[in-house]
Amino acid sequence: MTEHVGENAELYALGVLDPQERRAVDEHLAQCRDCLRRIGEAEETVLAMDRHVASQEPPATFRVRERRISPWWYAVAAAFLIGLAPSGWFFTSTMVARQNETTHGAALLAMVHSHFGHAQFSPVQPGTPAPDAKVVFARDGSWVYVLVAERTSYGVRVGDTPIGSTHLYGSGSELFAVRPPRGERIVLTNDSGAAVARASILNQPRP
Amino acid sequence: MTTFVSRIASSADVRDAGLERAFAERAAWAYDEAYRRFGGRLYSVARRLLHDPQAAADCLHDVMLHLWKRGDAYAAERGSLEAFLASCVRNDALTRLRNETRHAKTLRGLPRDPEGYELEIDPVEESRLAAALGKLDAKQREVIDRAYFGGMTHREIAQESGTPIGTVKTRLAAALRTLRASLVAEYPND
Repeated sequence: MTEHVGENAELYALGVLDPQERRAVDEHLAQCRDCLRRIGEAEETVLAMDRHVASQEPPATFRVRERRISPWWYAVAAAFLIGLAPSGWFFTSTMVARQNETTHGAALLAMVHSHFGHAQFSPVQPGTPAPDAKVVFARDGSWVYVLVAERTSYGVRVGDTPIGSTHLYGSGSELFAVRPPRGERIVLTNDSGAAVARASILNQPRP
Repeated sequence: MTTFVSRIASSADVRDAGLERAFAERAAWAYDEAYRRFGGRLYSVARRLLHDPQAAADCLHDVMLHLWKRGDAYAAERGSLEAFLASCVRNDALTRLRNETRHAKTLRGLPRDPEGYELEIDPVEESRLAAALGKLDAKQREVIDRAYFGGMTHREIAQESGTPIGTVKTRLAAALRTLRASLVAEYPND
């Protein structure tokens, strides 16, 4: 067994150890229940300190699912999405992400495994300009994928409930959200929070 | 005059043995539920250190993904799942800060609530923390301020204060044990 952690328990919980020191502690914890409990007590103390800051509203979506995906499905899914090149990935677990390459992977997987619809956004005020944007949505309401064909970030609401903002990616911006609030209308808002475009999404009761 | 405010136990203090067991066994629903239940607290931990909402969100996301992929980091014997997750987020956020050399010189002396990154403070808990910190001696208070509020490593604290590193470590450990006596809930889950 490696050396007991001693005072490093408290230092670990405070986050002051070097990465190598932290790894050494982690290795020891796998073998020693006493040190595991000491670390846990220290972590409870630091958490108690953390409570002086009020809880913040976390990022809207996080889901973990296990999948085994054949690369063939990626080719099929890509055929439905003109302009999105197949990523060439396949993996055994997925995570719904808010931005970057994993958004595409997650969205592709969701579309492969769902019945989905799509709708074009139209301006809230007729005759006013609206972003060139589309929403793809699961028929059972389990996810929505907002795609904006301009490099601008928009707030996204389902009804009156904000679900996040589109993230810049390439020449556009996008948001993929899992289990959004129930609603038949999805709305894009500008920096001031004003609604600029909307689209209808028809949800069916979730299983 | 310092007033000690007793902590009222909340639902966050109640450990959910079923959730903890399922998380340790890498059940997908347990990860989702842990995020739902503790995500607000974890995000606030990240934001206190990283300030920028997007950076904090990235940190939280990456920590949960790493734990999901690793699958064996948590055991209920260690303590509450919330405390474990907060520790993971804290360490990841501090690593990000320290890896960014442009932050290295600005970490020291960071105000608690930098302009433009306002965080809502819980006045009851802040009062409680202030009372607990007031029980530390001056040297313990100094190292805790630098470590917890300043995000410094023990080596940085030793270097900046001209104190032997062993002394810094001992003071930090003793300070945290003293704080534990004041702060940890009066309704432990055994």
